[in-house]
Amino acid sequence: MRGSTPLAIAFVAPALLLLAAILGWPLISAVVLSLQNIRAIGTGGELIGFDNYAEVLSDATFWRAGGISIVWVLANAVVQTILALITALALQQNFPGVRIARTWVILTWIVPTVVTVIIWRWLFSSSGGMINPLLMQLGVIERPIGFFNTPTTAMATLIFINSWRWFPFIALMMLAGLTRIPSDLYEAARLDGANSWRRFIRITWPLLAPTMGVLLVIGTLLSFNVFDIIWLLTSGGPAGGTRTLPVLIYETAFKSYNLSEAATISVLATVFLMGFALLATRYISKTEAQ
Amino acid sequence: MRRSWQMNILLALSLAFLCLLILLPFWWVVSSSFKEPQEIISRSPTMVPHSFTLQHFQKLLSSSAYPTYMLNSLIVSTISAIITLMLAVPAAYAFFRMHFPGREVMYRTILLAYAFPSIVVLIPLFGMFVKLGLVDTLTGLVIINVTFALPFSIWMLRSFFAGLPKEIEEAAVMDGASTLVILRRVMIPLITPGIASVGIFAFILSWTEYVFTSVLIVSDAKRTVPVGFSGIIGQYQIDWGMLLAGASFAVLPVIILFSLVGRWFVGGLTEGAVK
Amino acid sequence: MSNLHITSLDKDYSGHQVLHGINLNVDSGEFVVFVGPSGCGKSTLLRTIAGLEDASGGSINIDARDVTRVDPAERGIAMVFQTYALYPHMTVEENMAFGLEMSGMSKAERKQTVAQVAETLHLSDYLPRKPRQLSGGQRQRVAIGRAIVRNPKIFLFDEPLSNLDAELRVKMRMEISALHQRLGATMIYVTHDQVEAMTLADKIVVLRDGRIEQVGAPMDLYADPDNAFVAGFIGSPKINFLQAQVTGRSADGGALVTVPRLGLKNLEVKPRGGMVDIGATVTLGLRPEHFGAPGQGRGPAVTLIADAVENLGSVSYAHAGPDAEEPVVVEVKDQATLAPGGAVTAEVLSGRAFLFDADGRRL
Repeated sequence: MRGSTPLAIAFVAPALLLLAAILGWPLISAVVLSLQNIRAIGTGGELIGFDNYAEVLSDATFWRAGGISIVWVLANAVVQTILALITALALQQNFPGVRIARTWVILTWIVPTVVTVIIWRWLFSSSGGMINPLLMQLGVIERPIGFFNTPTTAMATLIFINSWRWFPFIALMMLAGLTRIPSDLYEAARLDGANSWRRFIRITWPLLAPTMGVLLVIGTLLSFNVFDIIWLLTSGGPAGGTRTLPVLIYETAFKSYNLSEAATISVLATVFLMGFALLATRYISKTEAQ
Repeated sequence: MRRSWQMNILLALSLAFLCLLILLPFWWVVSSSFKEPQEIISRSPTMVPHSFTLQHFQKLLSSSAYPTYMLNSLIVSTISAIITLMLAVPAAYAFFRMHFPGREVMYRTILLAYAFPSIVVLIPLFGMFVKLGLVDTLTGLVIINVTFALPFSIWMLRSFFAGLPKEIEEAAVMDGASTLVILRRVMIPLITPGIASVGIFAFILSWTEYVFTSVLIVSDAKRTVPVGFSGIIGQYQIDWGMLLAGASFAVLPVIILFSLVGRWFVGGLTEGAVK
Repeated sequence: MSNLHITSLDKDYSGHQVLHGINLNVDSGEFVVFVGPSGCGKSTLLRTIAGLEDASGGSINIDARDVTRVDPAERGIAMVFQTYALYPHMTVEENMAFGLEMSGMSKAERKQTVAQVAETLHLSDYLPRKPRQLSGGQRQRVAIGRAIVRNPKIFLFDEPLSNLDAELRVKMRMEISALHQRLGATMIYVTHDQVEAMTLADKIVVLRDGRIEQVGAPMDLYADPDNAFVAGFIGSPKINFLQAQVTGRSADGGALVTVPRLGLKNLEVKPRGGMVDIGATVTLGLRPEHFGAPGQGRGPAVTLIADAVENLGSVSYAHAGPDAEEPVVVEVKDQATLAPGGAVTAEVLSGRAFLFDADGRRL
């Protein structure tokens, strides 16, 4: 490690200043905005204290969106973890073409979300598409299902699509954790007569646990913030059944033109997320220390 | 290590499942974009196109500003990637190879950027950009993309810098190289894979960015692919052929980029993660 | 060719002091070796001389110029690192020329200088190669060449041979020794290997816990250690430390000691100076080679049971003693083989033995 503070500051300053200007300052503005009563951008307003908070916290729409966000985050965590674990364990093996597979598995994550949306909107379409005709040919259903027509199916479909986009990313991070488990541990266990299942339970799982913990936190933050897929596929519908907090914030600000209220919801969501992140990282470092 | 035959079957099944899950949707979309319209909406879907036409691509290019969107996306993504590197590499070097007061605090603050919904800053940022005249400019998009790519980029570079033995830097000090020369002549050449992965990450992030672009860009001529494309979705009666052609087209640049440097990117991603 | 003076040098890392008031003079052209166990501060001392670490107190002078606060590159010092620290992305030639380029030498001159040095190190054929295409010994030579081209006042070596296999290590040791002869340069060398220290050094500096224990020529440290630590560190196999009791004095000032472990009474040992208190508990330092062949009348004979033996051919070592204690190691010369469990009889050459007080200081 080298000294020379002025140079070090010069190195980090541009990045820090940009982050402060584009993330830090708007975050503070959001707090100020939440204490005012500004409706549309450019219009005036005055400080009204915590009235917005009182209003938002007594609004059933807010609580419903919060609940949907929690379901969204949890379901995504479960689906993505399962898919990612299968993927990571498969890619950890040696087989012809494994290097290509490790590179291209991330394909779903590198295409624009808009393309993801088109792909799945068409595949799930009730007029044409691929899934409905396929299911009908297989005799699973008689008439095409409108996957986006009821709140439950829309939510499930969205969770599937979002997980499809993100699981390879999580899988690669898990793979990084897996490759750090020394292979002589497996060899020693093999000599001790442990079969593959026992090796997984006794070696892979406990040693992967810290990585999984970190990934769950990152995954939760990433899932919570997903907006574009939901907005482009259902716009929060039908009947608000997929309206998560980010969707509600966007609607409040740019559809109902109530900037201050949107800022209030944003601040509440941020406080909630930061609290979660802090608690989770503390829990992880505590269990790691044990 | 040798695997039992049961494990081999399990592995083969998982890989087949993953192949279907990841590749089949792309195959369906890309192959269908060459199908005649009747075949696309046919009730009995075909795995391999029975018809072949380029009409959807012709229509896409003639009836929308798609080439403009593509050009805008390329410009914004390339410049964003370059600026991200110019900011992230020195910052990461300072964070991981230099001592200065407040280092830990600053680094943690940067990572905090993940912990709040980006949509939170959208509203105040819009007001700020209005005042600065950055609304409806590609410059504004670059600023946004760089900001969102920075924290993860710095984090990703961590393991690359940490992987270099400190003796190499000390040898350069003994050779009389200044910190700037060390960074330029010794460190940067040695972390080329890391620089490649961060560059690709920033490029992809910019290439896929939708929310901020949709709010900050007003005129059609300034739109990027994601936003221009979503405009096409609503603009016409759903013309699946054209949308599928557009989707295939939007995937293409990332696929090309990825076949050139994808190995490095994935290496960098898995290296940088969790360490 | 330059000399080095270090005066009351201190170094601490956030409150943890690793060097305590180091005073050291290195004469021009001298080959000085820092030895000591890991964590003794030898590398830190070397790095502080190089300027890679800042001194917390005291001063460093090279040729009467105070360089304590001078940049490493300005001190006229070159360093060879344990890991060689070659630039992996540069060719051998670029590696060797980098320092010259930094000092502003023209390209043609750099090429010539590097070529000359490469010639003497038998590296000419490898100049266009990258470090990863070289063997360990070749990398080591490039690292040394990189130091030589800069024509430094002082060469620093930080455990340069510890990454090489045993055979190559001996060869490189000879090469470094020959290099010193040829260049006549001042060299400072850090190692934890006392064989390297003994064979290379004009002067050895033994360090422990950030303090200098003793400075001297290798044979002086071996034959006349200042304390039990130096006696224990220099010499292989390690010296035997045996508890003893002073029971009287001989006519010419020697101490008469009882050594229960060897079953000896009134063994006469010469202290270094002054008187030893009668009745004091002391430690007798007896090297394995301080046991001589029996029947020569050079000292009292002892008979020990060899629990374990090492037959090295020209010489054998018998390890005698109950498991609970450090075994007594006895060197046996000209005796074909020893067998475990056999008896070994030897004369104790007490005239060459050392006495240490309870704190390990030489008496």
